[in-house]
Amino acid sequence: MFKDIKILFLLAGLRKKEFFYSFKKSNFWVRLITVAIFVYFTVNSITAGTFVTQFIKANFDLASQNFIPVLNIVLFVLFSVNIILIIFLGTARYDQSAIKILLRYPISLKQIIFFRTLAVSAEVINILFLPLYIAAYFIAGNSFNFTSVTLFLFILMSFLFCINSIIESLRNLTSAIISLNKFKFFFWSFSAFLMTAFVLMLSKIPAFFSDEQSIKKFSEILFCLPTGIFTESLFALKEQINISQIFFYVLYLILFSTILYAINLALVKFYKNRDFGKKETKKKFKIPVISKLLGKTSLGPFAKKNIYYFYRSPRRLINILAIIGYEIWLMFIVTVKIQTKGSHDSHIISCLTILFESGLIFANAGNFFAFDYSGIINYFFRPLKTENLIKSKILITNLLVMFNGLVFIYFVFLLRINIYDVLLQINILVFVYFVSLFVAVLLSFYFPKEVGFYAIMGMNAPFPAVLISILISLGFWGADYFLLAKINSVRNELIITFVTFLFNIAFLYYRKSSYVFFDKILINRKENIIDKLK
Amino acid sequence: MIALRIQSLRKSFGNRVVLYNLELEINKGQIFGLIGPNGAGKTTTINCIAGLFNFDSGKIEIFGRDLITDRIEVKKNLGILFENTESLFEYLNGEEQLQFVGEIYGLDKATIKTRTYELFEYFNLDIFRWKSISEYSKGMRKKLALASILLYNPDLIIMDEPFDGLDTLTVKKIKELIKALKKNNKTILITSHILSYIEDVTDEVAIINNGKIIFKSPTNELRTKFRNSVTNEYYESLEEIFLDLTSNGEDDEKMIGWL
Repeated sequence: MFKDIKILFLLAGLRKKEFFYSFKKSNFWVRLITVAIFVYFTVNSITAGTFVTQFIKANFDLASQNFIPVLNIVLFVLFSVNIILIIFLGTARYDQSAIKILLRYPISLKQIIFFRTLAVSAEVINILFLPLYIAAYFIAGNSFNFTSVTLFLFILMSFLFCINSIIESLRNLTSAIISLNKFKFFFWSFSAFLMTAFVLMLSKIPAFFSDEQSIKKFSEILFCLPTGIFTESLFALKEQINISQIFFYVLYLILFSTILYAINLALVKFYKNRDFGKKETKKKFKIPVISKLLGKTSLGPFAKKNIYYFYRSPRRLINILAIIGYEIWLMFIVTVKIQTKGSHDSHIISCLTILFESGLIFANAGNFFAFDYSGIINYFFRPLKTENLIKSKILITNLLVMFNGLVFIYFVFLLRINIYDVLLQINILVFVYFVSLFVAVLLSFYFPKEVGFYAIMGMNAPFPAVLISILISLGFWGADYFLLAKINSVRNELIITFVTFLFNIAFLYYRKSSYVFFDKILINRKENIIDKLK
Repeated sequence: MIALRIQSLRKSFGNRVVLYNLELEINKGQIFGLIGPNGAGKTTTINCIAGLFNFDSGKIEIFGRDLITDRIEVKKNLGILFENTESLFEYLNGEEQLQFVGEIYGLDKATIKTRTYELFEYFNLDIFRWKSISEYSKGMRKKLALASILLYNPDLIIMDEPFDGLDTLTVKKIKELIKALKKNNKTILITSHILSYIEDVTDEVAIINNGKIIFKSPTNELRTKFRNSVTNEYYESLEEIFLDLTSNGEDDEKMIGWL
């Protein structure tokens, strides 16, 4: 046990060194943002402690007021330790390659499991904090004031940490499944089947939900799921707090934590049974199906390479599947929930397609060198034009944009959106495509993936790039809502449509010039990009 | 005809100047050895030629074409074997890698197929052709990277440490390959720390130190033209010349006390 703790400190020390070394090497802005994040965490620790204490104070009859400052300190320490654990342990994911590396050191698998268990406990503590924040949020009242906004931000941050923990664990599990060839085909067939089945079911859903009994049955099923319990208890909490609601929270936490812990145990078991030291026997390998298929196409070499990489990267595939999944989920919700074809609903839903479009462009093209690693040099020493490089890199993004366009068309027919709104929205979709792509390519050049503390934060792209992407996407979303919902006159709507159309024509006209512009930037930035990825 | 001409090449990283007005000319059909101690500027020079580094000033011409203004055309006739075989995409398999390279350089599918088959056989890689490059050993990677270059048959080949990490049989094979390429009038620039190999295969050799070429001579004149400044005797090997010119008066006898 003592030895385990010693190893734990050594590993945590390694991560600390990596963190500070990366920090030292970063430029002024990156350091500034990091310091801001740390200030946020510190302030968060103090205020979270205070808010939670207030919540407890307001809801439980505490005999002694002396208890309050003690509770404040305890919560502050708990929260600080939790944040430290998340940064230095919690995001230390152990996939196959990481375990391979760790096993080269004098560390046993048992010690790694011990280390991983502590990391999971940090994630569970984080989950524990989330409902407390939410509870405090409702106590503070949901009016728009400093307290509620701050609390809302805490909820958001804590929620993102939770989602991150679960997604990372699921990713590791999926990677493990995909790494076994015999499951690979099954996995993708099953995913494709689910997607197709879902889309086919969409047409049948309105009829199903027109029956009240069916809705009731469906709600009962939803209520049994962890998220259902959470939602119900949240609504109940708004009215009054009592033991049964606390029970729901506890139940929710237990379920959440059990799932998380089970995934980790399954992972450890999976890796435990694999012989990392086993030598590959010299056997003739079969031609992979993807090679056969792509070999026959007339796609360019870089486009093919990107598709091979895309197919072989579970992380990227899951990201894409998640985006498609969200869109299908949106279609589902809209189909089920929107009974009236009111213009307000259609505006809100149309705006979401803008958010999705911008989001998926940034998610896929915002750091497009990320998976090239040392192969990045191929883009610079081979006879390749920057125009072709960018086109090959945004191929999959374009397919996703097209899918998003199809979703919009589905909404147009489902919600019978009026022709003026459709015209305006199509122009905005094209405009957002051009602008988002332009910014995303620049972000790829200026913020290529760094292996350092960004990786420790569990992010695929550097923080400034993520921040810019989120702000632009939200900006487009808000602007689109304003244009669609607040401009009521047809004349004004047509004028805006025409102006946006002119912008789009200008973008198309200057398309070639933009490649020259990107070429110059890429030449200037190449050393930096290579340095970050090699 | 001059295959590679480097004029007044200067490259710095921040305040640290790595190449000081480097001058180098290699004739077509020549096998040229560039040697130097660690950090002398060999790999930086290669990275400048490859277009991976922007240089502060100077000019690089390949077969009379300027590397900056005519970069796409220049690169079509240039093959580079990087020291750590970074040019390979880890998650492609060997066959896909060669197809990728062949298509970039405009070879038709039938030519790629035939040459790929021959190259895999030549380098004894045929049973690994569908295996992910991430699972290749260091030697296998080097062979595959070399096969990637031979596939499109460029006129200028640059090899950074081609013998590093290879077994004796493969080294022999690569030496023979270099000689065969010379017969076909290919120009090759080689860097290596194994000076005996350099002496074996090159026509001309240059020593780079602190970013400058400090010595240049045809390989066959090394033992007949140059004398040791202290003993006044002819040098017996390239290694002797190298040590004499680059040791900077370092004391060979100095040893760590506690060992």
